[in-house]
Parts: sequence; C-alpha cells; structure tokens
Amino acid sequence: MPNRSDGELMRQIREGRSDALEQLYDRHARLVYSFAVRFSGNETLSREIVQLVYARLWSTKAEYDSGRGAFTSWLLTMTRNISIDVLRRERRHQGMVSIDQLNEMQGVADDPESIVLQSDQRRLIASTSRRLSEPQQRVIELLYWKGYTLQEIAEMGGEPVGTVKSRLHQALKTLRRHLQGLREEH
Amino acid sequence: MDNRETSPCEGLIEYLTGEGLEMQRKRFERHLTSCSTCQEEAILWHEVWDRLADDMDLRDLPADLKDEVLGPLIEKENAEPKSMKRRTASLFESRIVRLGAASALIIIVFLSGWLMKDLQIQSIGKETSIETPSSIETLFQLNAERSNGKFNDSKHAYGVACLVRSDDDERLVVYVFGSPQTRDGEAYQVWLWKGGKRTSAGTFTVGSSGIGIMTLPLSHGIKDIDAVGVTLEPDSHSTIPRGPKMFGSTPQSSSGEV
Ligand SMILES: [Zn+2]
Repeated sequence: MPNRSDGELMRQIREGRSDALEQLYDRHARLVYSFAVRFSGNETLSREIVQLVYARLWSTKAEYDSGRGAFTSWLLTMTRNISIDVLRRERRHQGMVSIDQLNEMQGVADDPESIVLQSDQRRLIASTSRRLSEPQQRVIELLYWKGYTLQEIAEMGGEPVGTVKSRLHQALKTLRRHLQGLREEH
Repeated sequence: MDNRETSPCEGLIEYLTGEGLEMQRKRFERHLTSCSTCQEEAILWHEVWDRLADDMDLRDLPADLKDEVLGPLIEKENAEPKSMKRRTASLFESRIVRLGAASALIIIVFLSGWLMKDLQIQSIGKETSIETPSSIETLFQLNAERSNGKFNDSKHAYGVACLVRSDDDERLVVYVFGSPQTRDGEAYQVWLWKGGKRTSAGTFTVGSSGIGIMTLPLSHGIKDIDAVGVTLEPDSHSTIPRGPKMFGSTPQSSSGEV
C-alpha cells in the first residue's frame, strides 16, 4: 500500500477496513506501548492499554478530526485517557497509595532529580523539566504521568488544592517559556 | 495566579486537565467563548501539555502483541459467514473470552458469574445483539439512586450503558443489576440527555434475578449523549418521567474522547 495519511487510515477504519487498522498498528503501536509503559510501569497493563486503544480506534467511537491537530497528539491523548482509566481501576483494587509509598516506588526520596528524568534518550521536554523545582516536577509526574487528579494530589501532600494548582501553573509556564525560547532560536 | 480564586478564569486548569463535573465544564466552556485571556492560555497549555508525552523512552514492542491486539478485532472478517450465526452458550462464552479488548463490561460479566447464565438465556432466547459483538465499550456507569429507598434490600445495585458494535450495527445496551423486580405492568424507562434535551430510549422489565437489559439500535448521533437516567414507571407508556429515578450516570469519563 502506498503511504496513506493517518487521517485516511482512520476514514478507512470507519469503513471497516482491517488493513487500515493494521497499518495504524505498524505505524504507531510502538509509541502507544511506550507511553503505556511510562505511564503504568507495568508490562501487563501496558499490553492491555494498547489493546484498549486499538479497540477504540476500531470502534466508531473514535473520531479523528485532522483539522484539530496532529494525529499522534490525538492518539496519545486517547492513550493517556485510557491509561488513566486502567490505572484508576487498579488503584481501586489496591487502595490509595500514600505519597511516601509513591516516593519509595520511584526512588524519589533518594534522588529527587530522577523522578521525571531517568533515561538517556531524554528529549526536549526532559531537558526542560530539569529546570523545574522538585515539587513542580512531582505535580507534573503525578498529574500527567500517574493520572491523579489535582484534588488527589492535594490530599496526598496535605496541601490546599489551590497550592497544587498554582504550582502546576508555574511549572507549565516555565515549560512553555522554554519551548517558546527554543522555537525562536530555530 | 493572583486573585484567581474569585475569577471565572479560576476554572481553567481543571478544565484543561479534564477534571470537574460536567456542569462545571459546561459553565467554563461558556466562559471560554468570551474570555480571550483564557483562550490564549488554553492554546498555549495544550502545546505544552502535548509535549509532556515526549518525556518517555521508546520501547520495543513485544513481538506477540500485534496478534493479541488485532486478532480479536479483525478475526471475524476472515471467517464466519453470516449464516453461521449460532447461539450456543459455549460459543457465546468463548467469544467473550476472545474479546479481551472489550471493556469493563467483560470484567463485570466475569465478576458476576451469576450474570453469565442470564445473558446466555437472553442471547439464546431473543434476538439481542450480544452474540457477536466486535467491540463493547462502556459509555456510562449507572449508579443506583439510593435516596429513593428502593434499593434498601440490594447492596450491589448498579448499571452500565454500553455501546455494542457488531457486524453491521451499533446498539446502545443498558444493563441494570440488583434492581427491584417490576410488578403490575411497571417498567423501567431509559432516558437520554443530549444537548439539554431528554428523550426516552425505551423500557424494560426486571425479573426476580434483579437484572434488566434494554437494547436500542442506533441509527443516529448517539455519540453526544451527555447523561443517562433510568426511572421506574407505573407502565411502559411514559413520555415524561412519572416514577422515581432509579439509576443515573456519573459524569462521563473522557477516555479516548478528545
Ligand atoms: Zn477567563
């Protein structure tokens, strides 16, 4: 098959063409899986997340509108939402983890810098997030990568939700400034 | 973030992170249409937010994952002529097993062993859409409305509204479990809320098992349902709810919806 755009593949999927689904798997499953591993830290759950994402793509519920941005952003947003659902389900079974347990799990207590930044292949945002304070990194980690709500994060840290919100706001503002700076350089 | 506590702009972060009740989101959406500050912020946040995903390592896909993922979704294209529609319990069961991709419903079905039997009876005895679903996804969890006192004898009443997609159609399927039996012509009625309007989606009865199922073939725009409610009506002819509310949807989870 010649190169079909992701948007075209999605249209063909709506017509029930399984070859289009397969093509989307070959093209993006690695990204979805990698995201799921980062998010869940668990291979079994990651496999389930990939499965749910592709089931969703195959169902007519998933409607991609190419006018609204890149396909991979859309796909990752969907992946994240599904990951959140899966992780919340797991947490319901396990009960709420305390922030200390979470720190232990992630080795944060020993090495604050390592929360977000553990890889060698860090990309842009990773280098940027090093500019964040540890509490700012943590709020992003818990919110974006662990799927906790602002309210839950506030409860874990024993802080008012307003504090968590303004910390997030500052963190995103810092990241944004950095990204804009990089964009202007190029 | 100065003085945001009192400003309507306050809701921006919750909105962007997808938190808050549907009502709050709607309220903020209205604010967003008229507040250029929030609009600009929202666009910029999205740019940053999307980039957060960059902070991950690319992993190698497990070699067996492709078959596991795509197999259940596309296998029936390769085989299964329509004439082979069978409705034996074992087929239904094995199909459900292979449907690993599906959703909470499957988990619910398996957790509620007693339910299996009932579904089989349904799928054998009636023309339901359940026998060959290619995907099932939960649209809404339905919570029992305990304040009406009807569930005092039932600790585990709940319901699910799912989208069931099979070969050639899509159906909304509403299940309730642990719900009071209908008597004397009573009927449960399903109501859909869409764009502030309520429509009836149909009725069903509940037997001594406490289980009720209603399916509605979908020919049009079901994707925009905002909420689902179930009432207990004195008969099956209500055009507006007359009886007590029995189940209501929790705010819709945003999964997969962008
Ligand atoms: Zn505003």
